Amino acid sequence: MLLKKALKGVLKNFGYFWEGFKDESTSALEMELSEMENAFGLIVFSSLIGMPSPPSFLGMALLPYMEHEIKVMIYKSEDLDDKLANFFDLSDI
Amino acid sequence: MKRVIFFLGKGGVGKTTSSAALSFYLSSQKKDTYWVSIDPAHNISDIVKEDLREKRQIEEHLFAEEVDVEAYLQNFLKETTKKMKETYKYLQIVNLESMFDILKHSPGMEEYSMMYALKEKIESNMNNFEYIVVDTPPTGLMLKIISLPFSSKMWIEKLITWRKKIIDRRAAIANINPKKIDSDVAITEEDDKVLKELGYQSKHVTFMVELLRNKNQSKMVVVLNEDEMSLSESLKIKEGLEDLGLSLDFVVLNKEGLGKIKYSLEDKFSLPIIRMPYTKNAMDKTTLSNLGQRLSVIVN
Repeated sequence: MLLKKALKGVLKNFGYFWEGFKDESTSALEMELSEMENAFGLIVFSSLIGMPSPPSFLGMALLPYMEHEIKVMIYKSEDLDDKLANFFDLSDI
Repeated sequence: MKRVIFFLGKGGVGKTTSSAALSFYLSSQKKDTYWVSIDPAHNISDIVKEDLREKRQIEEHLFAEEVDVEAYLQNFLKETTKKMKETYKYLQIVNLESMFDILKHSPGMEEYSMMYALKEKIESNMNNFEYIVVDTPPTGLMLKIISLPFSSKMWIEKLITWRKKIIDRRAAIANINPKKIDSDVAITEEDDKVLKELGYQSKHVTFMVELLRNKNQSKMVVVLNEDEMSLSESLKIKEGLEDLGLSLDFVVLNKEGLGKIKYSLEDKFSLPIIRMPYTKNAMDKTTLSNLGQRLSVIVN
């Protein structure tokens, strides 16, 4: 009975470890993805912020489908004043 | 369709008259011809003396139309607004139409709607006519319209490559840890609406690029008068087209005998020069058709 309980506990903890490994394995990829999505959004809508841009009609045509990228851009812009923290986060320090 | 003929040149040199002359001549030769104007300051209805806002048969073998570019722009904005409303449900309460109305004044939107209008008119009429004769807006605007498909194609190709990389990363993350990717975010190329839209836009611009590059199908004709200004502007058109890898095919010297230029046009352009004398009755269909005979070399 005690052994069963202990085994259950180990398995449960092993599950946490497993989740932790999965999170760790994708964190760098996620960071890269969010940077790419952010840059994609910035490029497509760059005429709105005064950068060299693709023709405006392209931004207009893509606008209806870029909700996710706009969210990423807003989220990224909130962290712009703390790039050092971003760097430490990315480097896992 | 055998050929699309673009008449280019400075404002007021006689692009409309030359395009009319060729169109009436082709029609008199029983060649099915579609004569279309994309110049916002349309003139072809002045010659025909009919309302040409819709495509209309004006001779047995000739149809003419003045494209309402503004309507194309309005339609594009309306479609975008509709898609925005479908995608972003919470925007239903906002009066999007009035917000988008201002976007039609954004730089490049007018050129886009003209390019789109031109593409659609050529594509929808190419199977029904042997010749399509295009009367264009003056130099500056027309060069922008011609260069737009080339620059857009370059942007679209880069954005497609970039987008595919994004989808690839999303799929990799979703494969390891599906919870990390929002359920409404596409993880395959087939499901991604941005990629689909880019592909759709790519089709438009590729059609125009291929048409303009196909020397057997499209002919570029510059119209000028015997004055320095129209000559120097025509040379700018030549350079502008060469920058895009395109080239002029013919030079039409309209209203010959009214002025004088110091240079030989043959030396300046190294192209066939078609000379059209000044005629008092340039609105008369028979006169135009006779003048058009001189332009027949363009379609031979």
